[in-house]
Amino acid sequence: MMNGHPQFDEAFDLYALGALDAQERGEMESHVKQCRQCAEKLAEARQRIAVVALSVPEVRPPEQIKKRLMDRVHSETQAAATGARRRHDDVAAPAKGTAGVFDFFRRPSLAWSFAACAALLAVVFAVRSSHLQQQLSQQQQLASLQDSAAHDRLVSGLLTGNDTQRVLLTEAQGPSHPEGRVYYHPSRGLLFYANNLPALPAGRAYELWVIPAQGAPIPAGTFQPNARGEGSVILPALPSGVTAKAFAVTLEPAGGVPLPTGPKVLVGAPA
Amino acid sequence: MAGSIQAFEQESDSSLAARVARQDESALAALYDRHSTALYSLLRRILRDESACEEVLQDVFLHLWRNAARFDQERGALRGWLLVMARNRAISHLRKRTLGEPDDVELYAVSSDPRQDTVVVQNDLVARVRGVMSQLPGEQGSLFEMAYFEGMTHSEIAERTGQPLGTVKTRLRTALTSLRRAFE
Repeated sequence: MMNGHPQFDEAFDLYALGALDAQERGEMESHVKQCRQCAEKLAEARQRIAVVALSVPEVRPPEQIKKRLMDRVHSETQAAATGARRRHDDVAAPAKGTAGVFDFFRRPSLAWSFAACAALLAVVFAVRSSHLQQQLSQQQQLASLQDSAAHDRLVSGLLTGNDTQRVLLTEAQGPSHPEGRVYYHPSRGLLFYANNLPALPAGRAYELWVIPAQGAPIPAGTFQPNARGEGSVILPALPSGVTAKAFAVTLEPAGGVPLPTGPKVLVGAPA
Repeated sequence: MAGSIQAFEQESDSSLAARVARQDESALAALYDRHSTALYSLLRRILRDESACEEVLQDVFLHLWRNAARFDQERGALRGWLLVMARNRAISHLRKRTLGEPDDVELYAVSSDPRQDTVVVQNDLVARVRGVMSQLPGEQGSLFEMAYFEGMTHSEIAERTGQPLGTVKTRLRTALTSLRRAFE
């Protein structure tokens, strides 16, 4: 198409329209990055193309769309406020522990209180945001964020539900340094966090298990601890309605296995 | 309450966007009231599916909610940003591919003309664009619609219609030349 400026000004409109084929698009993008004049022309073309959208017959959106949108926005605001309070607490009380979202678990006498749930909720949002930023591309982030409000409601409901099982997992053998906590409800799902986990050998992963009242252990996701020995599994895919008699973490090949094969690292049962 | 509603009606998009950037939910609601019909109309035209329209419409306003701080009124009109974003996302949804542009507010900067933010100028412009679109010769109009509402490229249009690629390019370019006249 070109090595320098486009041959026709309509090329900017064709670009904004999305009609250019891949090679032409690439050439245009390379050019406007280094040509301010053409970048301006492209901005004007975008405006022209945008205004065409207003030429279609008007249809008002159903009222309930706005309500659902504002519900999602409000949910995000609440979650952000909870996270901000948590961050403020971390700054205001540095003596309580070192920085990091998993400080929560370093408190030995942590109660399963509402305050604890709120703090963990903040941890969930922080972890999710961190995971998204670290592990997903921008496009994947956007796709994931589309469901974020529903995800947040699930997490919040699970953490604060009266019928949620809260289970402390401790080291299977030896002095009890690693520690994990499970929030589990048979239909709402599972949240799991652990700290003080030993670093993994190459090619290995920790795998979380739901031990049902009857039948074989159910895999509930693999995870890698971070440099501080902290790991988590948030809302893994699980069959619904399973009554759990215990939870466990084992050391397995990276990628996980359908049934536990390695040594137990953490185990715990509902009280 | 009526006073505050009146205030919203008179408040500019850029002022409302600034309030959205400060996480003011009422400002987002006001922008939704102002622009959702235009966006929804476009989405219906592209997607022809109620649930997909709602999904994309919510997605656009959630993106605004999360990124309003990055919107720079000096770089363009908010409505243009929302429309381009809605169209791109709808076509991505329709075609299961992106339109080519990353989801970046910088690239949605659509005009440096502050007059675009006034209702009178926009209405006049829209009337002129409607006039141009309705007067496009049949073949030009249908090719333009394939590109605009279905997100098809030159080559895809040529393949679908059986027309030579050069003919498709010429006809689209001619349609766009007519469109540009509405803005002069």
